[in-house]
Amino acid sequence: MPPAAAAAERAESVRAAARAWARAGLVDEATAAAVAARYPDDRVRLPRGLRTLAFVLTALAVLAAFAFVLTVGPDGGRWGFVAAAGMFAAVCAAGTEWQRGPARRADAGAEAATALLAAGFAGIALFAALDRPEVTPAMPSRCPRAAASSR
Amino acid sequence: MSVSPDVARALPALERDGVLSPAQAGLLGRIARGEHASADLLLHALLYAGVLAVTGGVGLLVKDRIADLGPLAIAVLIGAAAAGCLGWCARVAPPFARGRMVAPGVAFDYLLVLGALLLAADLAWIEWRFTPLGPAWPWHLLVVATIHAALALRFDSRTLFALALASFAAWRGVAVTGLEHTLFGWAGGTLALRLNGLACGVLFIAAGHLMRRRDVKAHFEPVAALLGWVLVLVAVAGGMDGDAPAAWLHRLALLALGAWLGVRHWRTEDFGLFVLGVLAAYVAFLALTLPGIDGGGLAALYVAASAVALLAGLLRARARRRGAAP
Repeated sequence: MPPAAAAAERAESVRAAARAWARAGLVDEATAAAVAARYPDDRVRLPRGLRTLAFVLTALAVLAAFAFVLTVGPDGGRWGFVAAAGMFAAVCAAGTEWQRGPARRADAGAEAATALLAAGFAGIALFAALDRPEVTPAMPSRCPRAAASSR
Repeated sequence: MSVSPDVARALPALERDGVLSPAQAGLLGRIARGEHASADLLLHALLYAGVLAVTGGVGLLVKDRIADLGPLAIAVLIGAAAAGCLGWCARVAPPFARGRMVAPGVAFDYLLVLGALLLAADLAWIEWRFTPLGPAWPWHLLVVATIHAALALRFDSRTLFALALASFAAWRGVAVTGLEHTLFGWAGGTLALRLNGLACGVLFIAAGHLMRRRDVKAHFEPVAALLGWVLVLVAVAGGMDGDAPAAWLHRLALLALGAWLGVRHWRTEDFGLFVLGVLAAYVAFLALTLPGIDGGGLAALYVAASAVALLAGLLRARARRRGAAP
């Protein structure tokens, strides 16, 4: 995590604690505001409604783009799919880092969507790469032992 | 409030700068280091699990012990448990108030919901075993909805109010297959269901509006509005299938309703209705425009580009509005 993003998260946890202290009546509102003023927020944050929309629309856009690549790209078979999923995982991960770093975004929905999709695409790519195709009698030449046992 | 090393590290500076008194910093430091823990979350989790366990236990009792106890004994047992919960709530609850009420204890809301659920289960059991309503059995859902609404208003429970509205909508949904010829003799089942959903939605929205205007449990209004709009939009979206002119009209109607809802709640950025409106309008927009695009790849690209354009437009409009704000 970039140092600036880590510092922003630390400041946010102090502000969140101050809000919780005020809700519990341990400090008054003025004190909570003074704590928040000492740990200012330098991130772009969105309210809950827009954050939800940003998450949904970003996820939809990335998944649709993946579907586009699979549909119009050359038919690379299993390894083509692994390459596409791996590429999308890398792009989503880079996008997440950019949003949390230089773009100074936090709690903005889109960075959560790309982070989740990066993990999802990486998992899919790994699963597709490690998944061994089922050996059937139709492909004896690629697996001599299976071909011998099927006879 | 939970354990937080970041907060524990920040406290000495806040105390040194005079933002917190030494006593406050000491107490908050013990909380941040985990030496003092709040049992609030644990209590709520235990109560929630308790409600689930009791309602699940009632289901098992009905299933396994019916031969031993007999249907009447089961009805009496569940009724007595419901009466116990609701009786305790009635005894400790403050008098009725038009606005918010302070719950007399952490267990109050859970016992109230448990009592109401047990009462609904008892009524369903009596209806199933003794069939007092006969073929008009869906009306028992209306009885449940009425009781839940009365309890919600008396004891100020938004959870029970949502359950009452859901039971009312369920009554219309279940009744429409048996009673549709009474109310919608001219319509087919699907249309009748959609019309019932639409009517329920409009009724909920109007009820919420009236409650707010008359200042009677005005804080229930968001629950009624959200459930009402979900029913209205789903009812309209249900007619979008196919290529008939009516389907296109439904798409246009959904676009208009969603856009209106999104714009109306744009200023407040209200979580429920704003998100619901924007997503409904977007779905209708896709349903209107996607049929004109040939090829799966192009359609996928179109969905991706339109989602990005919508998000960019929303963020730009928000930035402009914040820039224009005083």
